[in-house]
Parts: sequence; structure tokens; C-alpha cells
Amino acid sequence: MHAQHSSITKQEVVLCSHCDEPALAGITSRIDSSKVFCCAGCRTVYEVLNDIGLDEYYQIKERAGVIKRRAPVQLSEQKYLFLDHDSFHEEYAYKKNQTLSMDFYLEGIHCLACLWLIEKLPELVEFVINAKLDMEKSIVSVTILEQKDAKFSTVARELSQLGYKPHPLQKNQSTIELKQSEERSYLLKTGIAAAGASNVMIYAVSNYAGASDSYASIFNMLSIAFAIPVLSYSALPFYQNAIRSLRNRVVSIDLPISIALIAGAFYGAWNVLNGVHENYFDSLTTLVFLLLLSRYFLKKIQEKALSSRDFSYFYLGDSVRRIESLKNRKVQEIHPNFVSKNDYLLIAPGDFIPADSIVIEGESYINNSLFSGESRPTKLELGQFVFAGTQNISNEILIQVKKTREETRVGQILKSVEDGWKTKAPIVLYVDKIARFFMFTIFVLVAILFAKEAYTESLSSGFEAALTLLIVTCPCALALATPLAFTRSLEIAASAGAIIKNDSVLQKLSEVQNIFFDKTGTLTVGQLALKRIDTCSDSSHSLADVLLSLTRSSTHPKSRAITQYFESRFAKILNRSNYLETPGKGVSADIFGSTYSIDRDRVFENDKMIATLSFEDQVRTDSYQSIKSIKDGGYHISLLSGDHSQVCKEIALQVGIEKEHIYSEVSPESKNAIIRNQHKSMMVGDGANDAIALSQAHVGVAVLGAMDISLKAADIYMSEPGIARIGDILTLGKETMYVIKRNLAFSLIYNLATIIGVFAGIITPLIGAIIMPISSLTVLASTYIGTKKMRSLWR
Amino acid sequence: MEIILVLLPISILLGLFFIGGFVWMTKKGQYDDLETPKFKMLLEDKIKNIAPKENQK
Repeated sequence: MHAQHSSITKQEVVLCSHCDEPALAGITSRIDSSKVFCCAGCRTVYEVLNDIGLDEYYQIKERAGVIKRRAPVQLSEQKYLFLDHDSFHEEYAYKKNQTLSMDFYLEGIHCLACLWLIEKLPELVEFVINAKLDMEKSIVSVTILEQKDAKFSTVARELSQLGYKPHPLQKNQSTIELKQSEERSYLLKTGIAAAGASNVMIYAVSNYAGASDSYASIFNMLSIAFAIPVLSYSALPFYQNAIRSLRNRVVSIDLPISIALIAGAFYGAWNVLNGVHENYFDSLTTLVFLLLLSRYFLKKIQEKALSSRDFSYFYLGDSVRRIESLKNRKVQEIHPNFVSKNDYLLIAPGDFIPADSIVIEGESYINNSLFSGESRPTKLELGQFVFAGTQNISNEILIQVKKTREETRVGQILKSVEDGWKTKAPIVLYVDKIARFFMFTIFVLVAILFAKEAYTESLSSGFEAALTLLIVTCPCALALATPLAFTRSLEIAASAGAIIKNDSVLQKLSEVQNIFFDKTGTLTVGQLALKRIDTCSDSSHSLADVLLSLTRSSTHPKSRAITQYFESRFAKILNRSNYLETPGKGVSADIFGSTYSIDRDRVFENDKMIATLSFEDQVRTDSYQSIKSIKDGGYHISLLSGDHSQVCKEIALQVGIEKEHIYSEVSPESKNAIIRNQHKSMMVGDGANDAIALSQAHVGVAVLGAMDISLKAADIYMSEPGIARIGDILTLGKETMYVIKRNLAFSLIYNLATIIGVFAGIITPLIGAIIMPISSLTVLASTYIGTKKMRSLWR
Repeated sequence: MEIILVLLPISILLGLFFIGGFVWMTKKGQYDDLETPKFKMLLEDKIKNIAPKENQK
């Protein structure tokens, strides 16, 4: 958030007591002067917490061992007022016995201390009754009293003052409840299968150990009793899938499972009633449990990765200002979801356009990088069409909405992204093919075996042999092998801060050979800092004061760098008039009778040049080390940037990329061409500015930008800035494929061996019942043990 | 071995008791959020007087 200044951070780095960013402005607490802060906002938070006796937060924070607190957001009183409208409450708030509750997605939830602080909300705001945080989803549910002065806008302001940016979540009672009951029933099914299977196993072991006849029959009856709920209730999903696949005339893996379960259950029951001790309830129930469990894990992890797409409206910004009509310009703040067609909206510089619209008044520059992949501002003229998701940069404009939400261009894109989530990895399709062929073969073999045995021996021995084959060849190890490995790897990746879009990305990762790095924001911090000032003639006022006064209200990166540099050096703000900012050129203003201006990197006083400025984007401290370790992995690394070749060379030298692998001054279009020409390339870059290049690459990794938009183009989103984890992710991809191949090889060998065994008559139903769960367990163990490198990533 | 005739019903009843408990907890929604509660237990005590661990930033 706050840029580091190259010249001073090297000597002394004092960290802000609240957010652990470098504290350069030298702001100290008014309560305790030993506490230093990076900005006034952090100080306010510190003092607020101290005031109300919640300074315990800092102790919890230290104990949790977590640094990087989010710096608070500067707020106006106007902010979040839209939360209090009745129409907003109708769609967002839950009413219940004199209370209102609303769910917010919070940006910036890290740890224990956050949980503690947020659940203390009732002590901070008097009308808040309850605040409950779900850390996994980063969703807080706030309940307030339904009274006149109780307002959600106050709650939201309080939350953002604590450093968490709140986004209200639209209520969707029916889907949430449906999902919840589905989840619970799945858990119930798994739990009951576990209980049933373990109880059945107790009796089965007693029988194998040689219980006498009278006990054995009691144990068998009890096995049936415990197996009934497992094979009827818990196994329901298998039957449903099998029926569905039959209806669609495809062979699914649940079909042989269902047949084995039903046939095994009836045959086992038949045996028990006839006093034969062999029954398959132990293996059948274990099978149900293991399959349900693995599917439950799979579902949980996939949900974690997918939850991001629920927040696809983030790019719309927090709130928009609507005016009633062109004549009556009363401004009302509303939530972006309430924007409707033909509304007139005021868009301030820095705000995002919430809907596809036409410019009615004003001219400005916009950041269109979302669509063009180019970070340079483009001119926006009167009457021009402007797309949702672009950012207004220089002047306030008035727009009239033409298309909203799903109809907008970005809405359409996001919709196609959602469809893309379902993409399966090539290896999954391949395994499906093998499994389908395999199952077909099994059905044929079962029929042959049955006919053979029934012809040569008896009908019952034919049935027994056929069932043994069906159970023993049930491809559950095959079915578990791939999804389990993918799921575990997605989980490992998520714990390392990388959100991987889907299974196929992991497979693609294992194939990567060339890696392209973007420069700005990827290898570098991505924020300009003022590096040097060369004065060429004296100015009538202190240059520091003049520069600060000139730039303090501009949002251009260079202006921000100047402002930050001089603010931290206690420069004074002078009175200025005739302030003018020309996009693409600079700023100018009159100060004490002289006209000062900054034109690109030069500073003028009354048309006389007085100084030149140089800016620098700092290389991330870990870039060199990360690049080196990736190189050691045998990858081909290149730098790809739109910046000047001199700047690129300097950066490349610092991070250790060879001169011949620098592609500088490349336009977004030629970036695509370069990437497309390279076989199996990985592109690492900014989610917004390199969107097109990222989507063209074999694997695109976004290290900056909003998650939802980045994942539109990229396959992987790194939630931590920098490239430290890229090497790990590459390793993970390779190792995952290795584990999958190991699993597949094992399960196929197992199945082939057992088929031969059954035909040769070596495998009796008893042996079959023992090996079958063991094969699944081996695959489970093989996946969970993984490889040494995967385990080290996990920690 | 007749003791099994006593132990068997007891083990079954115990098993059923825990299954019942599991069903009840699931229906009550205790397994809905598996992430937050593990942190919550750490916050129960007033930690004012406990010095933060050293060598942690």
C-alpha cells in the first residue's frame, strides 16, 4: 500500500505498529510515543482500539505470529449510506424478531486476531447484537437491532476503519438453505457409512477369527442389521447416479458399484439365511464409506476454490452515485446492483464504471486494461460508449446506463468463465475412457465366467464366481486415483496461496517448459518511487513544498510517488490556484505568483526548467532467489515487458535473467504472438494488464489484480504478491501427475491381477473381500503420502 | 464366552448412542463451519497477562 523509498529503507526500516508496513511518515501515537505508524489511519485504529480497551488485539496478533495487517481505508461520512435504504434491506437484510442481519464478505481476513476483533463488534457499536465470522469463507454475519439510529452504514464504516473492506452479500435464502441441507445430508451419509462399516468389520473379524457356529450366525445377523442403513441410505447417491447414467445411456463408474452393492447384499443375505458364513457386508460397507469420504473431500476442496466466483461483482466498486434526472441533480448513493437501465450516474476519477453506458457529460481518460490489456489511459469523449469494469481516471463524468449486470460485456465474459470452471483435465477424460472400456470388459467377463461355471459346475457356484469378479474388479481404486490426487494438490496449492482454477491446470503445469515474466508488479513492487532529483536552477520557494503542493491531489502514479516522498519528509503544503491536470502530460498550478508545472519528468517555474526527476520501480527482494530456483528446475525463463529496453535490461540484470531472453517494448498484441509461438509456455503477470497474454499462454498465472477478473484470463491466481511460490507450484504440477500415474498403474495392475486370479480360481470371495478395500486404501495412502517435495510444500 | 451376550447389546447401544449424537449434531449445524471454531477456543481466556512469545514478529 505504501511505497518503499529506495533511498531510506536501506538504512532504517521502522514498521508501522498497526499494519507492519514501513512507517516512513514518522507519525507517532498520541498515547504512547514509542509506537510509530505509516499513516494517520493506522494511528487512528491503534488509538480507537486502545480507547475502548481492545489493545489486546496487538498481543493476539503477535502470538498468532502474523504480520501484514491491512492498512485502513480513508472514508467519507457519505460512504456506505446506501446500506440503509429500505429497498436495499429488502434484497440484502434478513428480518427476524425486531432484528436485522446482513452478510458481508470481508477483504483482509487473515487470522485469529481478525476473528477476535470482528467478533468484538458488539462492543464497538452499541446497537450491534451479534457478529459472527466464518473464516473459511471470510463472511461475517452482523445482526443489529431494528431501531431508528441503528444503521448498517455505521457498521460498514466501522469495519473498514478496522482495516477490513466490507462487501454486502445479496441474500439468497433458498439456495443457501438448499446447499446447507445437501451438505449436511452428505455428511450424515458418510458418517453413518463409517459407523456401519466399522461395526460390521468387528463382526466380520470375529467370524474370520473362527467364531463358533452359533455366535457366527448372531454376528452375521448383526452385520446385516448394520449394513442395511449403509447400503440403502448412505449408498443412495450411487444408485441415483447409476439410474441417471442408464437413462442417458452412458456407462458411469457408479453403475458397476451399484450392481456390486445390490447383488452382493442380496447374495450375502441369502448366504446368511442358508447358514453359509461368507458374506460381503464388510467390504461393501467399507467401499461405500471410502467412496463417500473421498467424494466429500473432493467436494469440499472444489468449493473452496470455486467460492471466488460468487463475488464476481467486485469490479463494480462499492457504491455509485446516481442523480435523479438531468434537471434535478439530487445525488443518491446506491449499490451497483441497483443500477438500472437509463439511470444517470456520476463517476468520479478513480471510480469503476458499473454498467455499460454512454457518456452524457464531460470528457476523461479511462483505464481500459480489462479489455485491451493495455495499461495506458485511453481518451473518452462525449457520446462514447464505455464498458463496465473500466476505470475512470482523470475527470468526473456523467453517464447514462445502457446495459446492466449479465448483459454487460464483462458480465458475458464472467459467465463464460463459470462454464470454463467445469473443464476436466485431459488425464481425467483419458481415465474415464479406460474405465468405460474396463467396465464393459468386466461385464463381458462376468457373463463368460457365469456361463462357464454354471455349465461346468453348478448355478450357485457360477453366481458366486460372477459376483466375486464383480466385487473384486470394481474399479473404485481407478475411480479414486485421479480425483483424489488432484483434490489434494489443489488443497496444497490453496494453502500455499495459489488458487488453481481446475484440474486441467495442474496437468498443464507439469508440461510447462518456457516461463515468461512480466516486469511491473511481478518482478518489481509495481509502484514507482522517486529516486533522484536533479536541480538545475534555484526556485523562489522550497522545491520540496512546491512539488508536494503540486502533486498532492493527483492520482497519477508519479504524482503519488512525489507526494509520498515529500510527505514523509514533512514538506509543507502551499496555497495554489489554477490547478490543472493534463492526462499524459502533467500538472500545473500557480503558487505565490509563479506558475509551476511538472511536464513528465521535468519541473518548470514560469517556463524555466528548474529540476528533473527520476523514478524507479523497485525489484522485489525475493525475485532473484525465486528466479534462480526456477532456473535450477530446468525451465527457460524470459522477461516480457512493454517498457523501454534500458529499464528492462536493468531489471533483468538484477533478477538474473539473461540479456538474450529479454523482450522489451512489446505491445500487448505482440506479447500474444510471442507466447503463442512458444511451445508449452507459462506467463506470469498482472491479472488486468496482461489479461490477453495470460489467456493465450498454456498456463497463465496472475500475481496482481482482483481475483475474479484475473481468474477470467489466468489459470492460477496467487493471493500473495511476488513470484516466490511459482517454483513450488511448478513442482506441485509435476509431482501431482507423478502420483496420479503411480495410482493408475497400481489400480490397473491390481485389477488385471485379480481378474486372472478369479479365472484361475485362486481368489475366493473371502480373499476378494479382503483385497478390495485394501486396494482403495493403498491408493488413498499413496496419494496422501504423495512425494517428499509435496509434503514439504504442505507444511 | 457367554459374556459376549452381555457385551454385545452394550456395544450396540453405545454405537447407536454415538450415531444418534452424530445425527443430532449434524442436523443442528455443528459441522457447517469447520474452520472458525478451532481458532475460537484460543480466545476464551483473557490473555492480557500472558507475555507474547519472543522471537516472533
